Amino acid sequence: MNGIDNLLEKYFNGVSSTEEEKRLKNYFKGAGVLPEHEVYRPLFAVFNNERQIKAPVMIFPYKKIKRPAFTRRIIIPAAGAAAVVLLAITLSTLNRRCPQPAEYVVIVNGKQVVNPYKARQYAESMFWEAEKIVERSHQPFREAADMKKNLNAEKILRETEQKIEYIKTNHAQ
Amino acid sequence: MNVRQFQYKILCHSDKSYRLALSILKDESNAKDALQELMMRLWEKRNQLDAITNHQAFILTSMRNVCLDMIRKQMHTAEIPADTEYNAPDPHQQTEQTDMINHIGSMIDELPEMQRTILRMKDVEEMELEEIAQIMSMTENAVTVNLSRARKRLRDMIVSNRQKENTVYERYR
Repeated sequence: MNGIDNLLEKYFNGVSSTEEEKRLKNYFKGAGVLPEHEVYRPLFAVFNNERQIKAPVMIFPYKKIKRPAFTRRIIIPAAGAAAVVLLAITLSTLNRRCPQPAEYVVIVNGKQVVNPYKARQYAESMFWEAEKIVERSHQPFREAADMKKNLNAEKILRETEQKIEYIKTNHAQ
Repeated sequence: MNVRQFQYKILCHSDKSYRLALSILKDESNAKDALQELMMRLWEKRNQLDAITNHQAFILTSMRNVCLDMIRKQMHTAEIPADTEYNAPDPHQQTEQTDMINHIGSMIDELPEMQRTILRMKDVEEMELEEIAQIMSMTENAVTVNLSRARKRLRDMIVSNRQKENTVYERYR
């Protein structure tokens, strides 16, 4: 079989293709191997035998990953989320109780006003209120002054003397 | 890379890796140790393995390096030079070594490490020259040269062995 001889020649020269090598392996696996080629049959049998060798079962270091129970899978993230919300609320409250110092703070009726425009507006209105109060409180004094200004002692004395004279006259009659 | 991906992408090459270790180290126990060592190293670096495109080439290259390291450490440097004559077993030995397949297996083991590794990658694992070249860090041409040398040397050993057998047979006929 000239074809097999050629294939063997190519094979031993290392220039045979994968297809040609498959043909050779199939030839030597079969029953029709010529006597002159018999010498090479064990060679191809060795390759086939070695291909059957399996790796031993290994003791492998990886740990089996345990999946957490359903309740644990739900409860742990939920508890985590709840803790975050609680922390946020606490911090927010603390922040409200301990306000950060502002550049412009005015206490109005016990309340802090940080808006300068509102504070000014409020101050002006309060000022006008105060002025009205002062105005009202001065009114009696003003009236008293007017009364004093209008008061004529001589006239009053004269009128009083006249009245006394009138009474004396009428009483004598 | 998780456990499942590691099994799917890495551990599936265990058989080839083990056979390669067996071919290089020529000892089952050492080959098992080499495989265990390699797989543990790969598991530890599993997060970097995703970046590798050809896992088979990478694993076989790593396996070869692990084996060569073991040989260096153990100082098992009794490598037979490429030009050493193969001493076929005498007829008495041969009668003990009845299994011709095992006999040829041991002939392959007598080849230099590079030659027998390339030979087994090509003929046992049926890998392409390109991939072998990648694993062995050499050109395809160099692979072909080494493959050819290995096969021719093997053929010479087989033919020489057959001639000795025939001589003995003729003598005792």
